[in-house]
Amino acid sequence: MKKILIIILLLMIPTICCADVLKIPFSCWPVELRDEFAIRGMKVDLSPLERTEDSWGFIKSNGAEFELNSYRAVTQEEFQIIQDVTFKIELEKN
Amino acid sequence: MRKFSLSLFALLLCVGVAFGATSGNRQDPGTGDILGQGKYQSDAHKIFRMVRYVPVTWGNSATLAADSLVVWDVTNDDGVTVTTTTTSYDSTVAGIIVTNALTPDTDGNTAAQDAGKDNWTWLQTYGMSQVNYLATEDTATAGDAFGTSTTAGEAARFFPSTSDPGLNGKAGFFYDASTAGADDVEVFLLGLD
Repeated sequence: MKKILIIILLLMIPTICCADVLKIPFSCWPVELRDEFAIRGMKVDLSPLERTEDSWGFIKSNGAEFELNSYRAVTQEEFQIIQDVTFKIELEKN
Repeated sequence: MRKFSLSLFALLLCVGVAFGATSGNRQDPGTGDILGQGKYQSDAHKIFRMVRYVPVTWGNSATLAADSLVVWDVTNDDGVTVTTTTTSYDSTVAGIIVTNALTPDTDGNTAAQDAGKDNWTWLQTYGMSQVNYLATEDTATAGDAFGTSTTAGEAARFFPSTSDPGLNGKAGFFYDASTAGADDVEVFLLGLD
């Protein structure tokens, strides 16, 4: 029995997906963020339950700040896009 | 009973895998090129924060290069501003910036006033990263703790102070043996987030 359990656990290792978490100190409307990312070609979901093959990540709103959870390592270009989108929304609010 | 528990556990694991909508290994691994790492799904999970950079002295300040070890700014104590230090093992250590940080356009701005400006960057607070290692140090062994050093942005081996609470800033540990003065040494950040 123990052997079977170990084999199952070993088989599960490749299914573990490591992601990045980006914490952003500005509040936002998640829908607005999703739309702005979509314009720039990034499919960002409002919940991990909406994930599809095309998803880049999902948004988690924490009130005065929000988090982006990616499904893969973030690139330098994506860092810049996220910053641009955040400031576009933030500056439009004020 | 023990057999039953193990069987049940194994069954639950199988069901979990079978019903996963899209398992991680089926997702596009992406082309993440941050720090030359992040090309595979198996890479360590990382945590980043969007932060504002304000140099210690505004006049004649220069761009802060990626891979610099930075500290939280205790003058602009707003929780989003980082700066550099020349204090070894500074307890305010914040993490490593992974994109170049430009200097502010105006001196004395608040974080809100700087929204949309160029002096925002990305701070890594957890996971595999890289940093420049102080030239005057001895060789670091894999697993040695590191913190800030007497050179702004560079790391040194960390030795906790028993007398000064301001000198207990451990940022993480070296992942490999590292020669003094080496650039881009592999480290792991932890305990900062």
